[in-house]
Amino acid sequence: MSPTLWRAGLRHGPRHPVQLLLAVLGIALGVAVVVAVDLTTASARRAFVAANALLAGDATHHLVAGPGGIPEQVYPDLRRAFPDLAMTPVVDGRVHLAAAPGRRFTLVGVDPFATAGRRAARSDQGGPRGVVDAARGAVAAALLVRPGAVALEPSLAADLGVAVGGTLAASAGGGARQLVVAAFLEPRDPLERVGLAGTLVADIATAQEVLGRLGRLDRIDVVAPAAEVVTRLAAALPEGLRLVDAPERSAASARMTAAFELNLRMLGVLALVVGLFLIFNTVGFSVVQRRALLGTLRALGVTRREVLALVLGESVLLAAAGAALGVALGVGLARALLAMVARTVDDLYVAVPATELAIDASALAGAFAVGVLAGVAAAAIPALEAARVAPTAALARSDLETRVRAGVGPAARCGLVVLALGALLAALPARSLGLGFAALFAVVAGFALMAPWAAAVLLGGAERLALQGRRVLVALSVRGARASLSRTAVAVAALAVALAATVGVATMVGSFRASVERWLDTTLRADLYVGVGPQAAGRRMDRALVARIARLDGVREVSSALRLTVESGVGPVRVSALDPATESPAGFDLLETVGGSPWAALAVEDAVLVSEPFAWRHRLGVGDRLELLTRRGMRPMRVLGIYRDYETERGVVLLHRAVADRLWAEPGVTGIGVYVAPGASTARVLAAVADAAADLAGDGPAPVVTPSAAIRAASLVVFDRTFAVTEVLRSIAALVAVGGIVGALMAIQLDRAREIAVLRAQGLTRGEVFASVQGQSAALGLTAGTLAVPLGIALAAILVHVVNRRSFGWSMDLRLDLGELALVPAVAVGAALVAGLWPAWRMARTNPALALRGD
Amino acid sequence: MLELTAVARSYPEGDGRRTVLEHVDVRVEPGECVAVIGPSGSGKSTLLNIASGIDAPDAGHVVLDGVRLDALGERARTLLRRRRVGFVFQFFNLLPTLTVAENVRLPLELNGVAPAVARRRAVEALAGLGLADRADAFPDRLSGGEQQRVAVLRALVHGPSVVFADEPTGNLDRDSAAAVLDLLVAAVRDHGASLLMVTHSDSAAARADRVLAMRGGALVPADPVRAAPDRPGVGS
Repeated sequence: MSPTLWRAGLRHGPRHPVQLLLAVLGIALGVAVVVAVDLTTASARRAFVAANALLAGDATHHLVAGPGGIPEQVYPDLRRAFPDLAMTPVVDGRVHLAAAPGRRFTLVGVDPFATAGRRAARSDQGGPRGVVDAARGAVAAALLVRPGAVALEPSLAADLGVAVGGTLAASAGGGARQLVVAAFLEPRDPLERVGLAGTLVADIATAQEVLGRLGRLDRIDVVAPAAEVVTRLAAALPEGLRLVDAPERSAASARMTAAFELNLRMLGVLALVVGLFLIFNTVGFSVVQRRALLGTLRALGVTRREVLALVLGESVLLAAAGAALGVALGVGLARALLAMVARTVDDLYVAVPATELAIDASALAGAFAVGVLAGVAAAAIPALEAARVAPTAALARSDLETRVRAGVGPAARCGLVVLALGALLAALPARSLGLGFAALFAVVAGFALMAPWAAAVLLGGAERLALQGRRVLVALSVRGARASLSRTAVAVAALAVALAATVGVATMVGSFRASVERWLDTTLRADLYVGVGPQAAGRRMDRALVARIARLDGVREVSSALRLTVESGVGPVRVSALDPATESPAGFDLLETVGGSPWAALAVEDAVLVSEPFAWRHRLGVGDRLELLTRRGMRPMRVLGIYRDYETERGVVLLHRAVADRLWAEPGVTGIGVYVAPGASTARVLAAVADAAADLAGDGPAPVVTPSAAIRAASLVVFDRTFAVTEVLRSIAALVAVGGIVGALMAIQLDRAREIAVLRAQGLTRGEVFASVQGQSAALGLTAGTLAVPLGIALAAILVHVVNRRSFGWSMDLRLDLGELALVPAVAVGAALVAGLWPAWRMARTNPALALRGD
Repeated sequence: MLELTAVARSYPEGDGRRTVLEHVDVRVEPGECVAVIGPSGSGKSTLLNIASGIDAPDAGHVVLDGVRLDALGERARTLLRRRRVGFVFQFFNLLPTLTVAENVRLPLELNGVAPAVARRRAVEALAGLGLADRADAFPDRLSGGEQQRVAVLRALVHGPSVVFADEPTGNLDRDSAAAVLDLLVAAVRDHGASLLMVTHSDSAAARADRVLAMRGGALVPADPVRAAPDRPGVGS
């Protein structure tokens, strides 16, 4: 194509810098959110995978047992039975360090001798290296020589302000302990450094002591050279031990965060979709502005294909500039969001050791390409419109508006069909989260197609109202907005979609929060709860404490629970063994049961209740059986009921303590519920319980006694923190939409330049011009706000009943806050008025003589 | 050479159709200037659009430089227009995003002339009109008369066989109009091109070899009085 022809097209943008800037920013912000979500989730995942890989090393299998772990003696027995098999005993658990109270660390105990043997047994020296390999040679010697010795990565040591020979105050299941930094672990590559960022390595005996697991192993890592060996080993295992596939287990852990990541990614896509409206608007407007120019080009012999190429070429450049800026902004945004996302993943799913941003060039290139493609796709319709421009007979604006108005009805009908399709997809009894999001986006697309029709109806009504009030100037403003549907409709749709997304997500979060609050009120039936506290996670309380508290004055009754992690037919599961109080059953909102109350059967049968997310995740229904690994091997447990639970999306299996004792004979409890007698002082009982707990704990860390109200408040803090990141992302989508309104108003004002000049010549003051423009802003905002309410409710319903359900397995009631919904149009008007400030100011300052001079 | 035979065109209006061109026959020889006059709404612009292949007739056919337009598809008609047609518009229609020289060289480049050559030829052509110093200015810096002279240059620079002019002096003062007409008519005759000019201006019509009037949807020879030069005080 002729370079001069390219110049004819490309010089248009710089002549309208504000339009250009808005389009570039629209795509940039959308891409930025996509990049930020991608980088943060990938970084958190990378850190988790690196840590996991480091812990697993080159193990092909893990040997695991029931909740109490593997008796230490099993290891030498197996070594003797399988002398050629490389095996490593491992003890690991969470520790807290006084030097970094907000962070969580993993203490890994390894046997340096076994490590050396395993290394020697490996034929492939270049294979994956685990933490056991890192702790060999001088490091191993240092760990063995000093009691309480740990090794850690140098930059972690620097973070903690400790050098070799220094000490770290630590607390874990075994109580408080001083650890000595005996050596540094030198990471082999950056990924290994990420994996080691939250890890302390110790000799196995030290780890057992610190974590309170004397005589027990958490697992034995096995490097099996062939399937035949695995079969042989599995057959020779003592009762209660199980061999699991190591890579499969790592993958299952990584999969846990998939729904969370997908939800964040969809918010990124939403911002990009709103950005697309801006591109569509800008390119569409530039085509309308240049109809005469395009018509002249066509008359001069420029073909339709060349016009199409010209407009699409401009869009490619526009989108590329936006996408490039978006990638840069996205990296910055990712840095800001990383801590938030990592914290949420850490709170809800798996330990994430590091908060270091990993910048993946291919992800950036992918986001750039998505931005460019999306920009070009958004420009396709206006570009085709441009190619249809008749030579010389460039359509008058009124002709275009007539055509747009003629298209409003068919578009609305088409929108209705897409909307119905979205509703149908949402109603399908499927489990696919992808289908859920397809339903969500179909509803958005259907609504956007209906927006021009709805905008025409609403603005028509506003115009009639204005005329009834004999406010000609106001009517003129509203009519101007209605007469320019070709550009206002897209801006209104963009603002409506962004606002609706905000309303939808806010309603979903509100509904979720209300359900969680209700659940907390139901569940937290006791007045006080006794637990080991976060500083001693993994530690258990003596069961005698339960009886002692029950005897205290002012205590009506107690319940107790032991939390365990148990191997099952579906991998490791959280089990809660409950010794209920009379009131405890009332704390469970049973969604389904095999018939009648399950509590009596639960106390005697091999039976469990499972939480709603657990049932969803593992496709379990009442009456089904779940296999749990017990002292005597795998045992099928009948599911008697499914109960509502928002504690964790991984789900919980609940059984009676009497049954748990039969299956595992695990000592201690991890939580005690205390019911205060009527008339007794809760504060006094709290003090008495705390005294009793401290007395029984001796020198160990005293259990923590917390009123139920405090637990409720703390739970809601975690909840709010979880959704903080969505707040940031949807704010960006709203910002992009406001940009759309600015662009649309600019477009209308350019169209109205002559009309305004005539009005100015007839004596309209600058203030009145300003008010007239802002009248249009308000009309557009009001229209968008009014449309956003029903769409927002529809989105909320899909988020609550489809997306959330399929992501996390939680059911909840949709809770509409009518007061907040009523405010949406007002917020939209406010946003539009802010967006209209600059165009209004510009038009008010226009010199009427210039505008009247003509072409 | 341009030839229209039995051309008819109507447009939908209300429940029926309004006939704009009933039966138009006209032939413009190479080097000949034909002016078409007629009141507003008589179909002059429709005639021009059909003759140039921008619009298609309901009946009849157009032969442009020996090629029947109804035998061509939209793209082929566009390429024919690119190579063999020049346009002059009432409102100049210079491309605002291109400089004066770039406006002139665009048809050359569209026809495959190398950009450097096109640039040289455009500057030379502008120099011939005394506009060399405005070559790098954008059109909005030129007077109406200057803009229309540049537009004439753009219409002729690639050596078209047929030039269409739609009210070429309709937006100019008398002196500028005379200068533009001098340029247009002389250039068309020099190039041996055919000129079909739609105009309201008697003085413009008077420069043509033949003047036809659009009446009742057909072209008829114009009243000789109308074809006389403008009387003083009668604007163009």
